[in-house]
Amino acid sequence: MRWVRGGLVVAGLGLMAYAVYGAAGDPETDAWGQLAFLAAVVVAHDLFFAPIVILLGFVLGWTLPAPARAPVRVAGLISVALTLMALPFVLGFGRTPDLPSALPLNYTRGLLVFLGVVWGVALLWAVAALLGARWRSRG
Amino acid sequence: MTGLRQGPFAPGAFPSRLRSPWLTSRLGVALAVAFTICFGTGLLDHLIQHPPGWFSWPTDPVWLFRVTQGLHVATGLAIIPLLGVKLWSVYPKLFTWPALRGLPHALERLSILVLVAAALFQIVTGVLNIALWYTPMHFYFPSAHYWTAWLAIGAIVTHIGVKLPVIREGLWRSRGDGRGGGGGLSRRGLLAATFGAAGVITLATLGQTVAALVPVSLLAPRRPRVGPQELPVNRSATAAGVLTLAVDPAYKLMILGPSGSRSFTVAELASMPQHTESLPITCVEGWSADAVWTGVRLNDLIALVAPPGRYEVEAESLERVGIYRITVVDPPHAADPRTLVALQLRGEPLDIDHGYPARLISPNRPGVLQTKWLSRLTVRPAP
Repeated sequence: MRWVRGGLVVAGLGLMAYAVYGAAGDPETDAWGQLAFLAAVVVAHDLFFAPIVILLGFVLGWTLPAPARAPVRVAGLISVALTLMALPFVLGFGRTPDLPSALPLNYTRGLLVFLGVVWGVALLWAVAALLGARWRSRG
Repeated sequence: MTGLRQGPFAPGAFPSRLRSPWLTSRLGVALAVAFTICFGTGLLDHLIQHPPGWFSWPTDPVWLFRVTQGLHVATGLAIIPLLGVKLWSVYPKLFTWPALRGLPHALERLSILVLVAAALFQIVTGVLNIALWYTPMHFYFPSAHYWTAWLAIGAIVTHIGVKLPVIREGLWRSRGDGRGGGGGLSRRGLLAATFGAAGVITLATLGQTVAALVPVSLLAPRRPRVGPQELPVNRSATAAGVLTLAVDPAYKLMILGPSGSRSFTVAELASMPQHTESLPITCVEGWSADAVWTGVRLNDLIALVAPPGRYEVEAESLERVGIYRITVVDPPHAADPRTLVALQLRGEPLDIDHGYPARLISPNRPGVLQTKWLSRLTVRPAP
């Protein structure tokens, strides 16, 4: 176990050293631009995205009736992941007039369709769970 | 010191009982598998485009590269919810108190910072690249994505080494039925929802690679049958700056070789024996599409300027600038009878955006190497 752990740590450090060495010696990369982006994604996640999501989850836990929490959380998780992925397509800044076959769809509509289906299923699930809870509490 | 432990630093600041080694270790295993797939397929693409001497890429099976590269992008997109929930599950550790407990602890935290930064970097830049949105990236995407991949995989290996005891405990000893604050969702439920989110993302996008999913893939960056002549384009004639050169009546394709040189007008190329092949176009951005091409065999052209032998061919485009202006057809692809200098797509002359008057098409290669608007072919003995 100790040797395995030591081996993995050393191998990983070696790979990371190769990455730094390779990037430093590659004339095509811009080291500062890359470093700034590495820092930016961590700051964006740790100081903005994560606190907002955690706060939202907290508020949902407080305000929703217990049987509705699971469906709303599951739908919320899928929605956040899908929206993050779809955002660059919805914004469409990558579109250029000379390339109509790139980003050819209406991504706002596509995202809304997917979110509609996800929340539709979540709504049915929540209603069923609420009715079930009421039925059980009477029975 | 306890007076300083406010907000997220306070004990019990994160009450959810869903966070546990059970959940984190399972997500960690899934992420390790997913990142390994992305690393392997990405490295393969890099080797095909920049082949070292020991590397040789076959022409068969014709569909292999579209599978590996489609998998690369699909797996990268599916990582989004896995990584998000994994980071959520360990987020309270960001506020560990005391923040640093000596050198080993400092190094461990530093390695986690590198891991998080590299993993987020790979996913964010990958998505920006397939959305063709380059303005936020102040670096050359292929190089940065390539080197950061080594950083990410190294950080993952180190992380597994550091966390091995916790991983073992999480996988085999702790329980999956803990309920979150206020009940509702179990750890198992959250894990299932995370994989569910990955599945929804795959359904929404995989239609760019798998034609059967086109009707449900409403968020696919491409549609395999959308584009001029029902085929997508990655670099237009306008962007390449060849709008006038490509339709110049004086156009000739030059072929240079060890035993001489020849040049052909479009009509002369069309009067040579024509062959039709069904070969996919596969973009490194993950989309791929079937197409039927007609043109002259590269082999037949090589035979006009070189004695029988093993050759590689340098293909030069009419483009004046661009990193893929010149590409090299390696010996296996140059020798394959399916490799064409194509003049037609689906029975019609190539659209200018597909490389009119002539383009290269070869089995099992990245689209960026299927040089369009060919101007010159240089045949030279294989090294």
